[in-house]
Amino acid sequence: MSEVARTNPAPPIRSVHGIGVVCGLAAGVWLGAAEAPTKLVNSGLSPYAISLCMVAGVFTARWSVPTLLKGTRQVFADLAQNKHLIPIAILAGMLWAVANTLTVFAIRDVGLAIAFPLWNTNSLVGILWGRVLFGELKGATRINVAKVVLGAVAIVAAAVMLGFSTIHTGGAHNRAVGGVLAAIGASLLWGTMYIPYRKAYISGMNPLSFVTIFTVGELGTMIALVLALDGGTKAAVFHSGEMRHLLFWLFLGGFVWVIGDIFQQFATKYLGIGRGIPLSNTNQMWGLAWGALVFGELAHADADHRLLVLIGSLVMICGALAVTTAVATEKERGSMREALVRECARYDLDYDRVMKAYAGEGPATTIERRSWWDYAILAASVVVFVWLGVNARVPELAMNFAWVGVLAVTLVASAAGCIWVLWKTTRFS
Amino acid sequence: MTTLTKTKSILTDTHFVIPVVVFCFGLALLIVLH
Repeated sequence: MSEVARTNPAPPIRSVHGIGVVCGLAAGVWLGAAEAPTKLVNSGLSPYAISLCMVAGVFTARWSVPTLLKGTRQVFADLAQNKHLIPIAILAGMLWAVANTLTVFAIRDVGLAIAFPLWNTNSLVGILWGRVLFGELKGATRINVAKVVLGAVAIVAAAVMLGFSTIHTGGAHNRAVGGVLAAIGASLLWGTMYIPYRKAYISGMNPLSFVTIFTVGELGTMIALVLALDGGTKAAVFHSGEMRHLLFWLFLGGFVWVIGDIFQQFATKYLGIGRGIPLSNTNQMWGLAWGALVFGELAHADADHRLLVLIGSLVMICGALAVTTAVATEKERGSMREALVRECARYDLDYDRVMKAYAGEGPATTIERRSWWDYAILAASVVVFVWLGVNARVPELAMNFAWVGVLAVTLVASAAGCIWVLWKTTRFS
Repeated sequence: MTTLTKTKSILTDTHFVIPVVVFCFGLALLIVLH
């Protein structure tokens, strides 16, 4: 007999809205800060090379952070329980890599001013998939639907405004159709990438296990793209002596991005795509804060640009507030439960286990002895970062170190708060 | 249900098929644009 039959009527799902909101907002802070280290890289290397190095840093962080938080035994035990989801996690990483590369073509062909608004609509694509495939917002009150949809649209619009405030458009572009298609393609791929995210979490998979596998697809696809499209084994990324001095900043950017992405994964788990992704898309505001306050990118901006920043920031805050206050009612949570039931019926999963994991009530993280390879992975990551740091060259770039301190404290405080909430309420379940 | 059966099942799942189709579209677009 199916597991579903014996769980009817299903118990109500506890509300995890607050946890998701904290994770979504913290994700915005960290994803925005990830841009900062890459501003220190001005090498003339190809975008493929830059992407590959960042992804290599991401790979290092994606294996070390879950190891630090839960230990590889627990990560692999979770993966063993959800082996059928491994292909879909790899696929998500592949989608990310191709989407990221498409943005390079979009910028090349139509410029950032046109490409950026187009690919920023990915959260709206995500909302569509969430509604169609996972029944998100089904049964929601009209007010909640309006809050989520208008809030997401406001965040996208605000991101575009903030983006425009720092963009300096170039001349005419000769390959406009291709560039627009690339930007739309990136939006579609990133928006679709949230399907695997949500799929994994309604099946009871842990976000830390998901990202560990996700990164295999990410790194594999980036290496394949460099080999196929950027000069093969002769690509500059494999031979340039310049790389050694730049790698630290790219790895650091990747590391910061991973922390943000892990929070985004937990936001998607606890809020769904429709609410979690728009909240984490507030990263644009934090990215601008680093650019303007630390690197002085708005120092020569005119009054119109400064007004755009002010309005954009206010619209983004209003959008985030709208999404944050759209707490799912019991009826909407019933629709989410139906999505869980579908997964359990299709893959013969233990409904009770999946339900507990989904609600953040999975098996508590036991303080078991770490394996020697846990320490080896952590030590290797530290050695890599120290080695890269020793070889790093600090570029001559004017920076406001007082603001570096303020934003760094904000980063640490947001991460500490989010980790504390996750640990106290879910034990990183 | 064995892992093999589950894996076969996921290959025909809309949640897997849609991302695969979108990935193929993205890759084809990338190759055309390159």
